[in-house]
Amino acid sequence: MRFQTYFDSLVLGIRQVSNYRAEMWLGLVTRLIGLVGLLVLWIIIFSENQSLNIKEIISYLLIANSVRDAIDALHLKLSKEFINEIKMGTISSHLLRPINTKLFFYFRFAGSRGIGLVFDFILLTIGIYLNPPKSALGVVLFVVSIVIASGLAYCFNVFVGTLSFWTTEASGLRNVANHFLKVFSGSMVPISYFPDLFKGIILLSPFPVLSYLPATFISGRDISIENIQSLIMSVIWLIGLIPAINYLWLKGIKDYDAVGI
Amino acid sequence: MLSEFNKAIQLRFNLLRECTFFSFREATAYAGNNYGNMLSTFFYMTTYLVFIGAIFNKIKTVAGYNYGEILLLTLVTQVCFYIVWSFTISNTDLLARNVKSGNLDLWITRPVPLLWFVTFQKININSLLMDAIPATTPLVILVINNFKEPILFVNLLSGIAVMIMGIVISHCFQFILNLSCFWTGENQNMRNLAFELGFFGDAIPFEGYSPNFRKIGMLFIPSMINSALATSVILGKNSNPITLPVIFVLMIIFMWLNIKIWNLALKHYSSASS
Repeated sequence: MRFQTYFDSLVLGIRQVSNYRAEMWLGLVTRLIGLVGLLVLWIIIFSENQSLNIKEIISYLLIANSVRDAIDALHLKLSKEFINEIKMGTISSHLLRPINTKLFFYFRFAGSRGIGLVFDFILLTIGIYLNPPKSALGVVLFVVSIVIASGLAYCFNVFVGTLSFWTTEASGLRNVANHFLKVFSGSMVPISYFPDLFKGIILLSPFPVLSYLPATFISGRDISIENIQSLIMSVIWLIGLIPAINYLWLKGIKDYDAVGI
Repeated sequence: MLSEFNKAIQLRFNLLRECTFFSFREATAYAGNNYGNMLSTFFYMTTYLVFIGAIFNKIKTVAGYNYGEILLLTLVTQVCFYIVWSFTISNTDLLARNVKSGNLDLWITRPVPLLWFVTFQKININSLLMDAIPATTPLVILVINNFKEPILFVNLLSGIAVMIMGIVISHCFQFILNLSCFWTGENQNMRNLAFELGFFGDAIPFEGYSPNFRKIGMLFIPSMINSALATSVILGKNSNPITLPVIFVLMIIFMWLNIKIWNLALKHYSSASS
């Protein structure tokens, strides 16, 4: 019965999006243009530096960006749902229901992502086709990293969204998180391009698993000890962040002043 | 006749002044969000500089541009971005909201030049002061420290002229696409698309594009004019004498299209009260 609630919210999300088909397609075109801009830049860079492998970097960028969007770490759109519901006070009606509000928002949002996920899958397939996996271990590590990344992306979304309980408008903070994730997840430039000290610090953070590690593992290009250590660090971050965001959420609800209640 | 013209100019000037003051008062009323935006733009610039730094950690030039020249391109792009953001994006968003809610009715019935009013209704001076200055200061310092080549004064003036005309073209481009709200009601993704096209390839030098792509880009990707082409002219990499006249003609065409499509859109407006 309880799962049915979340399934229904998923279906509701799909219906809502299918009502605005033109908007949905325009959204995809917009994303594609942004990605094309990044690819054009890298093609120009590689045309002048023949020692680097252009096929590998295009494959990397396609995989890294499709993964980051698929797990919702590209624009933290789920956090926007939280921010809007809290800002407008409409979260009150959801809080009164006997459901897990965070999961309800997650499934409702997941339903609105159908076409976007298909698009991500196409980009991922092209990326893998350009630079096929070189080992079974790489594929296994790719799958593991995606699972961990999904959990971490959910935590980041809930964290940013929960901040709305204390600030009237958290969209500026959401943009800060987006900019941070854009560069330090490795979706614009591979983390291996950073100076060694900087790279070492980033690999200890929870960000590389959102793009860099899955894209690196699937190509089998760099299954090094430091990348596996980075994956283990991501698991530690996930274990630490889940209770932290639950605590923050409960504290936020306690501080929340609902209109009319 | 001359007096009529003077009156029209005076009216537009007064509107501009009042809209600027009102926008400033409105923006300062939400101080918390202003700090959030300032933090956001500062972080964007910082992470962007990290991105450029990481690229130049491995290579020496991008399309013939060294680190200092790419930083100058970034500075020009940022200046254009803040101007377009403060003047165009604020107003296209507001216009779309007013069309959707029917609030445009309030202005249609008043004796004001409507296109002028909706173009300058919200002038986000606060964003220029609070967001642009803190975010671009580190960039300006980096440009001063890393840019070694001398810039000819005539190139600088020509580049600034291209940039200003490019900003007008970019404004018209975004405004025209935004007018789809008169037909569709909801057009958030169309505005996102216009924004993405308007700032397409903001780190790509003009010389990096193929000649055919440049021709297409001049018409369909206005960011190529106000940032990439303007930087190329400033650096003296583009000394073609017809560049300025061509951009001027292009600007006039875009302004003409802007007025024509605006008049067409108004005819399609479904007033909330009728």
